Amino acid sequence: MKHFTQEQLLAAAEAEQVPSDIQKHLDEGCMDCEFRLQTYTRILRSLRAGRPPEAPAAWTERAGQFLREKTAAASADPYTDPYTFLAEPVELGQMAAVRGRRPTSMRSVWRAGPFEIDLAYIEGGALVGQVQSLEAGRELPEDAACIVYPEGEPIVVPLEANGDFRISRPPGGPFSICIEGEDLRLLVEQTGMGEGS
Amino acid sequence: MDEPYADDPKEGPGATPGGLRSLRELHSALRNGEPEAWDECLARFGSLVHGIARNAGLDRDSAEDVFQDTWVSLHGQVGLLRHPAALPGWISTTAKRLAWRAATRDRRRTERENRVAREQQAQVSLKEETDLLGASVGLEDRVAVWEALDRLSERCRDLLVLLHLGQESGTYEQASKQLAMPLGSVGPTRQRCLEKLARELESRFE
Repeated sequence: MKHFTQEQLLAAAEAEQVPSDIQKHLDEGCMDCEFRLQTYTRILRSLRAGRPPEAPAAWTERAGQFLREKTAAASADPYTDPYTFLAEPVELGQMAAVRGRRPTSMRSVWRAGPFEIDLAYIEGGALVGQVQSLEAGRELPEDAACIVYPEGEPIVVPLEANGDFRISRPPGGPFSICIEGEDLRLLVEQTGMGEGS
Repeated sequence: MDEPYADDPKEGPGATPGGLRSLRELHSALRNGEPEAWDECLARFGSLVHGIARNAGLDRDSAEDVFQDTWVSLHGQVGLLRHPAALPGWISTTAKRLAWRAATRDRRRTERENRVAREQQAQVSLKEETDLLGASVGLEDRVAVWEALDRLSERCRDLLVLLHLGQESGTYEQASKQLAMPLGSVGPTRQRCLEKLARELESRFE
């Protein structure tokens, strides 16, 4: 497959109009030229739009001061954040069903402070979970969400009113889960119960 | 509710910090608890968080809360980020989530203050959250491109800014004159600089 030159792709990106011969080439499925054209288009648009406004200096100064102090404190004592509970698994890898030669469902329950997080992979690859309070009067905040941190972009899923959540396509390999809401942050570090983990 | 925060601080090319570390080096320094790495992180991604907070239509105080909380959150969770290239996306997603939360809280407060009927106090739907999560795509590109531009040579930066900034950007003749560059080399240099910029952005744009 003959690729288009940088000059041709740049000209198309600059004009924001793709000539028919390039379009035909892209329609034939050239991912390389498509990516380069998109990259040039995004670069040129961003340059045209100018440098984004900077944050007010006072905000940056306050954030910088806080972060420097927090970093210094963390070096002295790594467990200074009262809102972070590192969860410990209380039950691991309980198989719920077996089909063919491998398990189709795996479950683990984690405890973080007064909360319990029940995680399960179900057939088809979805990750479902429920967060429950073990302490009377300690409810989940209304805006609680489950945030999955794989190596790429985090995945954010709001929790249902009963603490349920579902992630249709969880990432492969290890990842961490954070249940986050107002005044709440529960971490489950380095889980990943899927294949290959 | 207060008026949405709409200050428009310094626009335009501004000063270029120069000497920036690669994302991998910055990520490593943050995880190792080097205090000065936070200053660099703020300098590089502060405009992204600020832009997201502004775009959410928050008042100034709430916008600053989002700004500060994003960094507090990053400080607590940077150890979970194992891939350096994920850092800008993490910052952006966290800021959007906090902005959505603040917008919801502000709206509820306003609704209470106005004694709006209970049935009108609908919660923010998932769709609205999704809209906000996708609202800053252009901003993310701008931050990524200008941040990558700062890592190019001064000559490249000046040339690209002169030729491409704004609607009425400069001509090859103006670039040749202002940057003391032979007219015939402006085009090829521009292409080389854009190619370098594209390479810098490869992992961010994938």
